[in-house]
Amino acid sequence: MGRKFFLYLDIILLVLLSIISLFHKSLVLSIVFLFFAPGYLLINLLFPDVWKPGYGLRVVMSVGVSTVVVGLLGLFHGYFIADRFPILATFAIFNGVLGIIVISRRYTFGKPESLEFIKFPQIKAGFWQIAKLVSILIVIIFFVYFLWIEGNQQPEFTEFYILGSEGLAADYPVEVIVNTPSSITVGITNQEGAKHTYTVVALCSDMPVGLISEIAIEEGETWEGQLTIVIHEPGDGQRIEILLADENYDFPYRSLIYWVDVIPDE
Amino acid sequence: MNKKNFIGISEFFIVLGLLSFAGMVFVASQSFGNGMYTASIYEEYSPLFWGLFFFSAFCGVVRVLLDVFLIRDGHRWLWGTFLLIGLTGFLLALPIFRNYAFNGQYDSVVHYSWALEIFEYGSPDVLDFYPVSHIWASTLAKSSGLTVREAVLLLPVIIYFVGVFNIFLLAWVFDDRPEARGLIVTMSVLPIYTFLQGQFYPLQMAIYMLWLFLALFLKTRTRPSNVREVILFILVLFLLPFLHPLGVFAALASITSFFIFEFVGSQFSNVQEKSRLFGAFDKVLAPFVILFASWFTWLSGFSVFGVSIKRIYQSLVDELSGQSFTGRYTSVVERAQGGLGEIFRLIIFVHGPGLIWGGLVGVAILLMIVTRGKIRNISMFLIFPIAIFFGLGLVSLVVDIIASLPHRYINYAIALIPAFTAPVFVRYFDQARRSGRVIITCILFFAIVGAFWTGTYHIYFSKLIRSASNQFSMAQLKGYQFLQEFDSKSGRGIYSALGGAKNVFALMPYNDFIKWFQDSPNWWIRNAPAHFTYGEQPDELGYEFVNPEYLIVTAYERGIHGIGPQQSRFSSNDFLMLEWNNHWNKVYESGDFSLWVWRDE
Repeated sequence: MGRKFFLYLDIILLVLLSIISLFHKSLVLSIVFLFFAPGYLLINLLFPDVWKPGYGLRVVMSVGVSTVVVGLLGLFHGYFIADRFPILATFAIFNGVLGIIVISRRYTFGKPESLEFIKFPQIKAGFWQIAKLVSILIVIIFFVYFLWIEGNQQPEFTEFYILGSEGLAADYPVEVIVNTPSSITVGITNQEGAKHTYTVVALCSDMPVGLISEIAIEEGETWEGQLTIVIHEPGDGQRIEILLADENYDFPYRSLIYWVDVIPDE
Repeated sequence: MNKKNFIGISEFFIVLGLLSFAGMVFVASQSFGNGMYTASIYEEYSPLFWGLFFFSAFCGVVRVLLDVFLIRDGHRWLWGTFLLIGLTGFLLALPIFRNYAFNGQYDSVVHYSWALEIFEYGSPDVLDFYPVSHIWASTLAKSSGLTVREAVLLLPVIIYFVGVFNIFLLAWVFDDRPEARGLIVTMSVLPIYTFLQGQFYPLQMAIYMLWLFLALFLKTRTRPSNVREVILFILVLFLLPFLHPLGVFAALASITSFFIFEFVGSQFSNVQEKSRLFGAFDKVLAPFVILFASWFTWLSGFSVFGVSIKRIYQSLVDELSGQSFTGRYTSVVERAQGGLGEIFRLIIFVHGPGLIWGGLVGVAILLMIVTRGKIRNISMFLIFPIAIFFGLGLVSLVVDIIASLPHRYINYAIALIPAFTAPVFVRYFDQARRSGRVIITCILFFAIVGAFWTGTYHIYFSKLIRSASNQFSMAQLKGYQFLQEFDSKSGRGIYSALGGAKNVFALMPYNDFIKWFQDSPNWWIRNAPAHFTYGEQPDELGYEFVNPEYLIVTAYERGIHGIGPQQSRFSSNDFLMLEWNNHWNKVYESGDFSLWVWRDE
């Protein structure tokens, strides 16, 4: 019973993994599910009785064949299966059906003559040679994993924007009245990875015409507020610069521009 | 020195190589990308990092050559090859570690859109089924929990490793000598494929699958009675058109050459069995190949191929009018700013691996001629694949000239050369005297190290080839998302400084774009005029902007200007002029992406 169980173990594990992959999201599992299992099951279906190609070569071949099967099955799914039927379920059903057939065929053909796992490749090396190489590989894998995890952290930058009267990126002020407060919506999104405190200042002809200070924003949060601007000199085509200050960066950290005609108060 | 000494040296080099690898990864783990654009990924890492990287590769190459040519004890070379595979995989994964949004402004983003479409709307349809890499990316995202964007970034690395498995299979099918297998695999897994293999390019994925195609093809030839291998071969055959059209041409060229040269070789050799061109097995296989060819012809009716044909036609017209060919080479000289040293450097880093591998083919042919008396049978056997290379090279040259597709087809030739030349070197080494052995080992050492070195510097754009990185940064992505969220739906258009204009819709599923477009039927996107027109009409700023709504400027345009001003459509003065152009309000800034809104009078 024990040996017979091991005869089907690889197939059972892959079918179970296919089922688990439907409910549990994992990169490692999904790579095995998509880029190994379908090919492995198909090859074992085609070669149930003969252990040629050897086990190692089967494993090698399984990766490429899986990639092909996933591509073709995906196309098949698109053309012949209802739109909303989950594509992963198609792969899982494929793996499950193949797994059952492989097990039944193995049962029919009996156990193979030998189960020499990883017969290929034969690397001739002593225990300590292998041990030191494997230990270095573990260190490398650790750092690569660290890079993968850390590399996928939030980026570090800040978004700075102004919105028009309708709350869209349009209809910005064209005219303002001299010495009369006007306002514009200013937005800041903090993507810096930590809480930051900002200051917004508006300049016209290098003179400050508006200010909002001490805007503390948590990581990932967006702040929007009204910046009130008062311009004291009339004239057409005046350039309003809205600058963002962040104590962690040189000033100005970000800058925006809009143009207005400043008309006299009548 | 005896064999035991060589084993000691070989062990020393692999430990040294792995330690360098570990040190390199440690150095890399001290700095992460912050999501902002950088003009060159190479400059993001210290000289120590690159020193360790290349030293590790050097150790891997030494280990492989020691094991293949001097120790010759089974598959010991695998350690060195694994080291080189690890280094190449790490190199391809750098954009992930640098926190890129996409590795590439254009193709990666557009393919992302199709993969996202499949992801969001369930299954592929007529709009997004081609190429099949969309299905791989969306399915990987669905099953792993990654976003589609992350899957698009990761898939080229995964497919590289799929390719590694495929080349192992091809090497094992192709030659039963461990030494020849070692050379085939080692020479194939290096970062030698031009045209940015780390990007989401179906071309690169087709190359890696071509090895599987050839392995199964050869397997079906060696065991013609076994229909089970034929089934696997046919599966690969039917996937090929969905990978890349050039992959189909390469596959057809390969098997056609095989049939022809097997027939020719059998006529001139002493082999009793004549060509099996019309043997029993071929009667089974031939209908499938005919079916495949018919199917491909049918598939060619799709617009994606139609566009390619139009491009080839247009290039041919340009060529006949003297624009295409001369224009391209003039541009190389311009990029080099006239200096011969610069031209030489550009050629080395743009075409380095191809030139080196081409040189190896020349050496292999020379060896076959020199030793033809001794290795007559094997030379008869190998003449067909060598001819395949030259056939591919010729096609590559023609396609390059008439279709302006530099670097593309040559990838397939580069991918096939190791399998067809490595056995010649091993065979020659077995029969040569001491001096001949030293020479051939030195040639291979310098070729592999040279290909690795030049190939490494061709994976990403840099100052070395006078092209700025076309990284799509996270800050740029946020900018496009802002535009999508706050678009006024006014029915007017968007100007983008460079060709990334279509990124606006490429960053959403196509169905969503259609809906967006329906809300704003007169909406359009267009490239901004060169120099924002400032150089031509300084008194009429922006006169060529017709009825615009938005203008997008990204760090990419500034990066191009910084690295290769002569290639840029904009100068630093243009960006300064834009800041003082009272037609435009600058309303969004993320560091890498600024959005400008046309100011109505």
